[in-house]
Amino acid sequence: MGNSVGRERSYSNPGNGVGGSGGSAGAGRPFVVPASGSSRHRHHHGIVIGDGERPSGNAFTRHEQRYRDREAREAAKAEKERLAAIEREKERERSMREENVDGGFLVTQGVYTGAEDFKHKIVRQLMIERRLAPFFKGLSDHEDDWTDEELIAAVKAELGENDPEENEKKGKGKESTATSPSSSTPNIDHLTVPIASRSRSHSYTSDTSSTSANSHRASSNNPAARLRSKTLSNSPKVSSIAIPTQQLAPGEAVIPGRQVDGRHVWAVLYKDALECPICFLYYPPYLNKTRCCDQEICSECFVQIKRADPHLPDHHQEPSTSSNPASAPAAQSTTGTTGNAELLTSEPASCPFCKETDFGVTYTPPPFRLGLVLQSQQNSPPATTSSSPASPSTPNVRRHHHLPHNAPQVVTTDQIRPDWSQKLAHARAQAARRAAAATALHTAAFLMNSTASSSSNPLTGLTSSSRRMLRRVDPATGASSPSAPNSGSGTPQNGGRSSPNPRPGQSQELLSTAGLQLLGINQPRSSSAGSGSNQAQQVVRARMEDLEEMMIMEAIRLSLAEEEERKKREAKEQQKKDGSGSSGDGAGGEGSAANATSSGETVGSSG
Amino acid sequence: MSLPKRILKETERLRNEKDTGIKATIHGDNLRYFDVEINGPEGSPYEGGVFELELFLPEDYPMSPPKVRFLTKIYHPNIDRLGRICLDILKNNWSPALQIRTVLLSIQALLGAPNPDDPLANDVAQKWKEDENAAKATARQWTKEYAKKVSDQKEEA
Repeated sequence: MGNSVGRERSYSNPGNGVGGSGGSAGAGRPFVVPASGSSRHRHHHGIVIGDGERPSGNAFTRHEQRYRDREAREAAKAEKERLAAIEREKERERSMREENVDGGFLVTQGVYTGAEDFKHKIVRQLMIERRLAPFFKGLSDHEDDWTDEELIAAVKAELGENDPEENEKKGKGKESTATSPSSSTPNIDHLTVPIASRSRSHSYTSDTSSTSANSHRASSNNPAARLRSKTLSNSPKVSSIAIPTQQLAPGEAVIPGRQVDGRHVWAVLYKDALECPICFLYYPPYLNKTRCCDQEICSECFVQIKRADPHLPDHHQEPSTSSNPASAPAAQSTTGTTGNAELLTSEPASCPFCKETDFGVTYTPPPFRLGLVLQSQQNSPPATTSSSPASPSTPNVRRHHHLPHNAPQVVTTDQIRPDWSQKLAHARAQAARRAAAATALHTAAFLMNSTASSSSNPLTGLTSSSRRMLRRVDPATGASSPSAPNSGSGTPQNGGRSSPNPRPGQSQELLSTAGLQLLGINQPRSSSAGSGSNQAQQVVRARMEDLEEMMIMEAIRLSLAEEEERKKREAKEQQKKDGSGSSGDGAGGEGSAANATSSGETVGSSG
Repeated sequence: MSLPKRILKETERLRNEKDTGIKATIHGDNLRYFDVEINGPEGSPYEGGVFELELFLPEDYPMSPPKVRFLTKIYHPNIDRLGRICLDILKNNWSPALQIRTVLLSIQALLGAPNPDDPLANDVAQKWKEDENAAKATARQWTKEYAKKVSDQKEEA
């Protein structure tokens, strides 16, 4: 397997493929090299001699230029992403400050630090609709016997500087941070937990007069809020959520305040906190439940779960970790590689608890409503806002049947990442492109391997006929007859790794034919080289749809050609050592190098 | 880069894990890197041996699986000579509901139930299929030779 993995890697990254083989590919980019005689001479010089050396200056500069262009594009993209991230961060801060849903938030609370790839708008909408739990702040610790004050202090401690209440008060309530939830005597409670509603609201009423005015304005439009403020009228609370109504999206409304039945919403929420089994933090008992096995999962964890990236179906183990050649799919043939693109799949995420596919959750909201609501929901909350104190403990009624993933109340991971199908299509297209390049490489490699011992030229099927055509006019080889293109005496006849080929012309002929046959062309032996060339170019066009592919292939082909040149030179030197060097060898080397260049021009121009 | 609470909690809970024959302690000051010891399960050729492993929690743990590797040489069809382990939950069957503890228990179970039909070490798997008794004898031999003794571990503690 190691072998095929290595190969896969080499064309899985076209950028590296071209850049990585820098010396050869760069030097061999013939379509940027002026075709004048002298420069061509210099150029082929570079190929023949410059094994592992710097490519010729001109090509190198162009290569460099391309590289810089790419870098510039990437930099621009990174800058764009950076700006988007800043924008997102601002939006997050605003949301933390101004928005809430039943005491939870509409933005993630930093449990996970990676990039967020779910659709924020969809998640936000689902939360406002109470179909998905809001992002409640998770607590590291929780004890069942904590008092309301301790609970509130614990939430505040977790929120730190993100505490919306503190922000509203411009950080004047410093004393609240000193509270340690576990060390509570009545005295300390009184002194260090100023959040305890009455004393706090009393001392800060003047500071927040503007916000309370604001919220009064909001509440005057809002029967729910008016009712609530009436019920709480004997304890003049500061309604600390003050969202200017004009910022609301159409259809949304705000129920201001942080009080439920005269208790702080956090005290109510976190009283019977549950531990999320994935992030191990404590959340209000209003968590999402898996549709399949009725397990709790917080929204923070839920939005992390997604389909695996597109992959080939069901390998029981990843090839990269397998050292077992037998487990590899039978040596990835050319056709196998091509077919893989269509096979790429991406299954829906499965439940982390029971492995049921099409992971989805349902949500039962608390019996009260605070913060953002849909206008249509607005009329229901007042009744529940002042509901019985027992209500927080009721949502734990277990469901005894499991819901299908397409049930209307179920939210699936695909719903918050609707772009998965697009990603899959993209991955398939990319795989298909790679496969095309791979096919070319395999073709070339196949031809080179099968003929390396008998032939001197690693023709890569795809361009063999154009090379042949050009060869006719190449003065170095002196070949003039299209029907016998390789009769040129200059063609090195001893380029083989081991033994000199007694009939190089014939093997060359066979090779060309083989190359075309491999492309699905039955080239009659009698047809002229010209028409063969046209056919081949049509095939090339049909197969290679964009310039990039051409360039990758060209780079691959040229490095193969160069490798062959190297072998040839080695053999030549060997021969010279043996004292049997001849002038024909020199000409041959030059001839085929020139061929490599000119055939490259052909490919380049046809793109 | 702050460490997720979950990792701290898992570490804490592992510390209190006493009698299952698995042990994981933080290695140095990298809180994502653990030294692990797993006792060979009773009735297996690995019984009596204490195997050392390393465990690393990648950046996106628990959304991706921990990386685990045997450091002690072990003769097992699903563990190759680099100590890499062929276990589905460490790869595509990973679930964020699993933990370090459950992973280590699964590895311990793998020692008790080798699966030569899904091999990572081909030669070992071959032996295992051809002559299971001989293979188990080799495994016992290697355990004696390379693994720490359970008695040594007890002395340490």
